[in-house]
Amino acid sequence: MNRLPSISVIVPVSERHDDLRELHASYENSLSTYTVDFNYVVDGYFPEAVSQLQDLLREGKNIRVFQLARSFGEATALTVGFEKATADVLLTLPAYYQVVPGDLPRLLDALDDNDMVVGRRFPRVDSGFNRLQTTLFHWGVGRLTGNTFRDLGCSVRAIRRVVTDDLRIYGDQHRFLPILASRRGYQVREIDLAQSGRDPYRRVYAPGVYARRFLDLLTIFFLIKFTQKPLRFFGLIGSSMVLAGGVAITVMVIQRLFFATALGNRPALLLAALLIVLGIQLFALGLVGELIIYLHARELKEYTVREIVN
Amino acid sequence: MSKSPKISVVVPLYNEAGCVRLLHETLVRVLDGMCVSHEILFVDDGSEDETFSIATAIASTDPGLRIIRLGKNFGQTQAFAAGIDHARGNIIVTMDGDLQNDPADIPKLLDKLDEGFDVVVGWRHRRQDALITRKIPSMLANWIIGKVTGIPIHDNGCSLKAFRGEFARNMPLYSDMHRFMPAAASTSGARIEEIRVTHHPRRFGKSKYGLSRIYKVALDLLATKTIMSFSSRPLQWFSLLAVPFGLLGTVILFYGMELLGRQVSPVLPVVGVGMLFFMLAMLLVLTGLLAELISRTADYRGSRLPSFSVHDLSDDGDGPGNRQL
Repeated sequence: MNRLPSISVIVPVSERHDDLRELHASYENSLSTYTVDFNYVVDGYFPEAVSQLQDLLREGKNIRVFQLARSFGEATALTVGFEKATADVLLTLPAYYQVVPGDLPRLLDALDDNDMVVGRRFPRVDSGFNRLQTTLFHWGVGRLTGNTFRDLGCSVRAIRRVVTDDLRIYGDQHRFLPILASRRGYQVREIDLAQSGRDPYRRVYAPGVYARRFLDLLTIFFLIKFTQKPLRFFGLIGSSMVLAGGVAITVMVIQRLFFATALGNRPALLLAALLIVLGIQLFALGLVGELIIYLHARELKEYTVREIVN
Repeated sequence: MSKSPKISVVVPLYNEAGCVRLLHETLVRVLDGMCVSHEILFVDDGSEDETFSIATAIASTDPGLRIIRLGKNFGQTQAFAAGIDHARGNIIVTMDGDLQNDPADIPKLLDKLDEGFDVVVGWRHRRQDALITRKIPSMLANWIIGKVTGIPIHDNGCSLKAFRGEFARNMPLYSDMHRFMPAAASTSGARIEEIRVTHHPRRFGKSKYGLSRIYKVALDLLATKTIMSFSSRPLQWFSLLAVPFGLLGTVILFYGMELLGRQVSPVLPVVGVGMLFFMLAMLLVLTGLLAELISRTADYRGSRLPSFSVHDLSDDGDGPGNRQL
């Protein structure tokens, strides 16, 4: 074999990480048939992880380490990794044992006729409660987006360069990479990888974590449904408010004219006016949204081209 | 290809395996009869049937046929956008892929362009579709679209259109904008004309467009209209919108104060309503400022924005006084 496919591995390192020396060895071991370079992106202040990475550097391993100035979130760490990595095939891996490393070549093989392959931890070894949480979350995602991915929490993904160049992610959106990619028309496949026995470590998260997941879901829903037409979203809410306020005022005016009910001292008048005012304001915001889209319509290409003949 | 063709015909295809061949044959016959260089662009909008493989087979024998295969089904607007972005001709013709439009009408459209128009729109005056579910809603919609945008086109839904290239390329095409393509082109100052075209009943497959949700079209229309009127001076537009609310608020506030002076019944609601409308006026002006900021930071250079389609009058090739194919 003269030329092996070259792959850039990107590992975002944050609070949850195993011994990176050991982890690196097992990743390196399972990817030994490929030409691989490793990019570790340290997302925040983690002296222990950094010293482990320095050990690896001292041993002369083929790794690069990027230290972010503060914690920017996994999506940003990945974006930095995508920018710094040099190969055309990118492999994102977690900084802890999530899947059995031996399964990674299977993931890369599946990339042959796809643009992106994401792992799904299966069979799973963690508790029934964890599995229930996962199922519920993905049921919600499925209802909102129409996608059928079953393990968005799995950080093992093989991605072609075209996809990462095209997608912009921020905040916690790394989780939704497969959804965003398939929305753009890329071929995304999910394949089963055996879950590592060291992956399950927490049963119940803090309530804040659940709230954030829920907000993520809403963001992604809004991004998918309404970014092209903000007025459809704002306008629907705004017009129903104006309508409700208008009906209320009409009723009150009729009562004033024909039934001699005083108008000026009714608190309901205030509510009706508030609804109208709020509705109009929402409409105006929707128009500003439309203006942004309109002014950038020629830059924001919605479609992607798979191939051109002739 | 050394020289770019004169005419590009853009045809979006979605599951049209049944008629690709016939469509191509008819198009080639018509275009060859016109003695101008041309290319045909089939945009495969994520078809799930054999459309792409059949089209590829045809393309292997016809170098004048190009196929742009989209990543998935993005809808007609995006298919047109993709086709227009890849077209190389200085005249771009768009048409449906289901053979309901007749390619034989293309020369007529181009003759009209020659008369000095920038966009020529087909009007299916004897439409072969169901009356109740398709024709009546569409007549109503076209009437409203014409009234609101000020471009009285009888048939906004007809895909058969011919554009002078720059106007097609400058059109903001997003979401479901293909419904308002003439209006979108008119933002660049295009001179628009419509001519009657033949409309065949569907021979292949089923119609892919049902009655779409009215509120979407209504809001899209409103957006198109207001954007057309305000994109270059948003602060002015929002301030004008704010004036009546400001006046209303002021009048109600004075009335409330007068009530207060006479010390009749509780006046809080009246004063409150006055304040609310006054606040709305302020917020609208501030929204206008924000919009102005957005408008100012947009990149106006190049041809990205529609308001800058410029005719070079000294150019004797395709200048408006001297148009020829």
